[in-house]
Amino acid sequence: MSSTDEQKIILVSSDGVNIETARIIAERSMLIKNMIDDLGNPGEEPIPIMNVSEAVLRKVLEWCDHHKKDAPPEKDEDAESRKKTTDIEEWDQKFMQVDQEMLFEIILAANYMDIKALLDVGCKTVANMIKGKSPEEIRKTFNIQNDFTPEEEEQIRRENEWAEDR
Amino acid sequence: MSLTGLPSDILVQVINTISPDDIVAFSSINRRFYSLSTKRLAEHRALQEQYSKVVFDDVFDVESSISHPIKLLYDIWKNPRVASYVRHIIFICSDNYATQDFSFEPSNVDRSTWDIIERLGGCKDLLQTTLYFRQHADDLEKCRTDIQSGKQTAALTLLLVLLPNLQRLRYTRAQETDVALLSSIFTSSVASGVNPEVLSKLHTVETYHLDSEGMTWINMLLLFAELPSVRTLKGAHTGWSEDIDSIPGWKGHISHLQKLELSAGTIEPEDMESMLLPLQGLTDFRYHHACCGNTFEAQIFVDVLATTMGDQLEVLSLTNDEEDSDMTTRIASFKAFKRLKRLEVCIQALIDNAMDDTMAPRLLDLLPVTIESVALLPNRCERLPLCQDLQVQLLLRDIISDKQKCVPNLSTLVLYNVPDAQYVATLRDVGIVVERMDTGSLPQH
Repeated sequence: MSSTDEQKIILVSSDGVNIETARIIAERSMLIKNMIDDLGNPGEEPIPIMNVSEAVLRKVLEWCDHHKKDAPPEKDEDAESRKKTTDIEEWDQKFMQVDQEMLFEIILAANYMDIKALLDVGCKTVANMIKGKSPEEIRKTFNIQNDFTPEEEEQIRRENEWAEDR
Repeated sequence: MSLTGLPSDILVQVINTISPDDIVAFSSINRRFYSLSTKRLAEHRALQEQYSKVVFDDVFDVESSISHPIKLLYDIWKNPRVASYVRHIIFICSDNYATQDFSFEPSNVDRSTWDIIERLGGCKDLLQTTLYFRQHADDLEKCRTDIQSGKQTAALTLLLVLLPNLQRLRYTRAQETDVALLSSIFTSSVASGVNPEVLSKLHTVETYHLDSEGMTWINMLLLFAELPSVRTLKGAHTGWSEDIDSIPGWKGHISHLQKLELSAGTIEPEDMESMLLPLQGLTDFRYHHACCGNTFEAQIFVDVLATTMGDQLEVLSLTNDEEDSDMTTRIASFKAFKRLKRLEVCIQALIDNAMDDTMAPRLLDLLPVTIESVALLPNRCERLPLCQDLQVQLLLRDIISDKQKCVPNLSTLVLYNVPDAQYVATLRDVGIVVERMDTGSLPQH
């Protein structure tokens, strides 16, 4: 019998498409890992991934495939927070070069499927898109309406005046 | 799907990833983002308050303050965001920590400090977060060894690589080995373009007592020549008789340095020439002669300065606070400084005490036509009413009648002495505002 690593399982996207993948890849998702543990007999029954469409699911699995050999996430929360920089490794940067629609779908999917590292890369990608921009430029980048009154804007500006050199 | 379409709990995760430099802008996008950022903004302000200006001093008290570079390293290790908040470092290195034989042993430091050193494990984790150290394993190892052996300056060197927003640095007692490491970090990061962000915002550097370990000011100048953002250099110095051209890596000139402020003993004119000539961008030179008992050859000093920098200096300050250090020769003219706008000078350097009153110069005749502001410093710090200060009166002779002809741009006169209202009004009529040196304003009449 093949090892669990090479076991195949079938995922079903929200739009009803069956996608076959290796168990080791799918188990980067804590959601899937827990489902497999609960179900027993992996591979026999397709696993529905309710909130994720085929296109996004394939993209997420591509990421999981590349990272299938990564060490499991650290339990020590302190150590996790220590790594909070906006550095993203090169492969992930390329992987995240998608349109905004897809980027936010990936973030949502990573959150739903409980893939911490991918969610983190998604957040960092957004953080990097903001880097060095003014509020107006950020609004433009993400097509966001400014709903502050001029008075409120002035107040916020004053609150943050400290940020300027002193 | 868009950014605004994300549920709030995910947006909070995004907010927690945003760099300290961007959080204010991000929170000002709209109301929803602002309210989601509340917690992060509170942290932002607290970190700003705590870390924007950091003083390392002789008191090694890890619990209550950031007195030691190691403590700041530890804070950054715990929360990498801290690094972005440091803008101003004042580093006063005590003899204890500067000497190489001091080591971090439990008997030398208190328990909690020792624990920090242990936990940092030589800061390896932290060091590896910087691109520079990832690519230069040798320097990484050296830095670790130095830190573990307790060298405070080594920890500072490391800090400099970690602080992206550092703007001002006051640095005392550098040791040769530290400077060598700093130098290698700067030169290789600049040359290879590996990390153009190393100290990219540093604009003011103050260095004191560099020569205590055989360092010279020139070495330091060379070091900061690699940092194109540096505009202002301040320092104290006692000798730079170094042959600058023989220093490897010296490119012959530095053009980004604009302001130089020296508080020093006597500089030999020939040293001054070789020291200043390379500073092609210098427009502001302040020299504070603070060496007790030495004579200051003011005229020779100014002559050399004029030959070297006469075409570029816009601000010149020559001060001297030691009563018994004579400015033996009177400065006859500043006209060779063709762009000079601001001058600050001791009255002592203009009028010889032994001089016959009729020989006293007119300030008007000493100044170049470009001058806009003049400050006259008193010989002794006693506040006389202007009408009793004969020397100042002599200097200001004919200033009202001949201002337009000689110094048409002169608009500010800074005096230590108390001017009388009548005189101030007359000067104002010819376009000269009088300011009092200490307060910057005049008493109400």
